[in-house]
Amino acid sequence: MATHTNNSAPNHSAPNSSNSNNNSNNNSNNNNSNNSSSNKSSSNKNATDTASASHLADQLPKLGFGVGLRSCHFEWLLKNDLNPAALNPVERPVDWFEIISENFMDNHGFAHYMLDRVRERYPIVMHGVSLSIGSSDPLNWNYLTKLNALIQGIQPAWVSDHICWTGISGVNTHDLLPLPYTEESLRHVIQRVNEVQDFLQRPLVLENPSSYLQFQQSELTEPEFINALCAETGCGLLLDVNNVFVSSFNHGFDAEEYIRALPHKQIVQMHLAGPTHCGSHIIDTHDTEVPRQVWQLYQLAQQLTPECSTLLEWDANIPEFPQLVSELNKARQALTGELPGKELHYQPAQQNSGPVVSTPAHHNLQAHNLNEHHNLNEHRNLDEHYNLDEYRYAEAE
Amino acid sequence: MQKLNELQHWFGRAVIRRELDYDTLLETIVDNEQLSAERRLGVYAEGYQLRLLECMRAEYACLDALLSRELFDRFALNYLSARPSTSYTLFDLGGEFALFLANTRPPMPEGSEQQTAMKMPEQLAQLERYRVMSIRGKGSEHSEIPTLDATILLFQPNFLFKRTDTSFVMATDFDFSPAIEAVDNDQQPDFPEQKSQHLLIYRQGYRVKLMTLEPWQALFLQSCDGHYSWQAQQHLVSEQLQLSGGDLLSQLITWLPQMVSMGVLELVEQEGTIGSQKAVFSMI
Ligand SMILES: [Fe+2]
Repeated sequence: MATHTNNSAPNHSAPNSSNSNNNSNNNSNNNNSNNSSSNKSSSNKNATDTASASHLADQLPKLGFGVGLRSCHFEWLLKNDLNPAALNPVERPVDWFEIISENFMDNHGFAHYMLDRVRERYPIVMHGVSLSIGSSDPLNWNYLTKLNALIQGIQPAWVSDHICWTGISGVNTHDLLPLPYTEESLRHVIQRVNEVQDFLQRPLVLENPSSYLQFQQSELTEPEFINALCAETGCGLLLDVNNVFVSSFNHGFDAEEYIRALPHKQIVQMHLAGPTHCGSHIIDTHDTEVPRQVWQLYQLAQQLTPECSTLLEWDANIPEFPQLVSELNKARQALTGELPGKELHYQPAQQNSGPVVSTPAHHNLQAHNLNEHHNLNEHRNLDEHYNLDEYRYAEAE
Repeated sequence: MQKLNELQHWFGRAVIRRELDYDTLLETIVDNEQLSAERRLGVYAEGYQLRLLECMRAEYACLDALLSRELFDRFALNYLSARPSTSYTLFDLGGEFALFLANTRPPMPEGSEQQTAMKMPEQLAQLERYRVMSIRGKGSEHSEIPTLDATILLFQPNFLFKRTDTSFVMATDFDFSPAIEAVDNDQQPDFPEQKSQHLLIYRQGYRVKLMTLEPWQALFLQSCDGHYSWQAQQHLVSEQLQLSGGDLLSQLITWLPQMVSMGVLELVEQEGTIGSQKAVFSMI
């Protein structure tokens, strides 16, 4: 298969040129009390300067406690929180929202309208799933140009993606695939992070992935890889505490040791989520409550990076908004020293017979929300008339 | 040691194409008692297929509900293996599904009942795709919609109209509307009744709606691409459908303003005539 042809680099601006739309929290309506003026000190600096000047965690705003903006909550938000009649500027259910960047690229419909309404009241963070920073394919400049346009329109507090690759030869798996932690891949990722930061004129924030396999050739641990990446590029770390828990179980490392080994001054955000225990391994499903083990790790992480912005991810079997908020409030509770949540164990009886799919790239802005599927037996015979094997599209060029 | 590029191609073959090279598996992936290297890789291979399949089921929910789950999945998986995603967005994933179904439809005598029945999946897939495109388009919710009426139209035979990016017209051999409505309400759809019709998919106030059209309305809307004046389109429609020009005109001058106010059509600003168009509206 030949490489994707849409990836020619555009003539973008010089890497170190200044940019007034830099990484400060530009949301004028952000009245979160956690925002100190010192957090806005990075305006008008480019990514490279920012990296060398001081630690990212001190420069970016402390947003408090947020959730992902999901289409199934639009109605609740419109009726309650965004309803002028019900609006209470003091009591906001959450402090901020995170969006999946790709769900708002090329999307000009109701979702975008809702985003604009939410933006009037809340800080927004953009979280991407298709940067594919670790792929050996060329950077996708078409994607980056659209990402940049969305950044300019939304003015997020920061922009994040994952330490992973998502595809090869132009094919996107829409999954967050693991990298071998070698010197070669470290150099490759460092070079690409620098290129992207120069293009976007802001530091990138990258998330530790959850993984189900490790490569024999890895020479570095994940924290070693992350430390070197942050040190050399100035990029930030989005610490997904649940991912640490998932990967530590799957690969048998000590999760606390992992968290202690991270570059804490570069951690600008934390993710929390609920995974699924499959007995031999744990899958990052984002479809349930955060387990006790993750809250325990979160307490440790918050001790090491105090007041770090926290985001609850919930992407399948999504509960009603008030229930989501009460799950998020457990994070506030955890910071008072209490340990919320139930311990996650393998419970074969509760396991669905179907396969478990991780949902990092949830397709949550679709048109339909059909939960039940029905067979129409009288039309099953359609099957016999089709011969799908006869037809094949030409191989991707 | 494999280079990063080689390793990623190896991984891609195993996960995307399910071509697992057992000779190099243990050299490449850590294998232990807890979970074998093959099962570890399998988590990604299964996840890849199921994640994309779920996206297809969500986008083509009505087709999924009308066919058996097994059959829908077969269609979708064949489509996904023939056309793996090359886009950064999952929105593009199902973009050619209707075309794929049309191209894989077995040959049947032209115009036969069997052939028509076989066209149901591709037509419904096209309709569901248009609905998603309509949901995501710019639409007219933020545009200033001109107040248009029969008098203004009669004075402005050269006005150009085009369909908004949230409006689509298609001909179907089935009445899909009840099935679509049932699925939207989480109900079991009945198999659509066979019935030739023209359908308009459009968005108004961010809601995507369906409307059946008369043949002249469908032909008129299809020719609304911003290149011909509405009067030229009127002539074209009356000629092609052998309709009396006068009758068509009297229907058009009341129907066209409705299409504009519903966000189906927009008035194209013409160079040199924008001022005059605005002047006409300001007179109202
Ligand atoms: Fe995460």
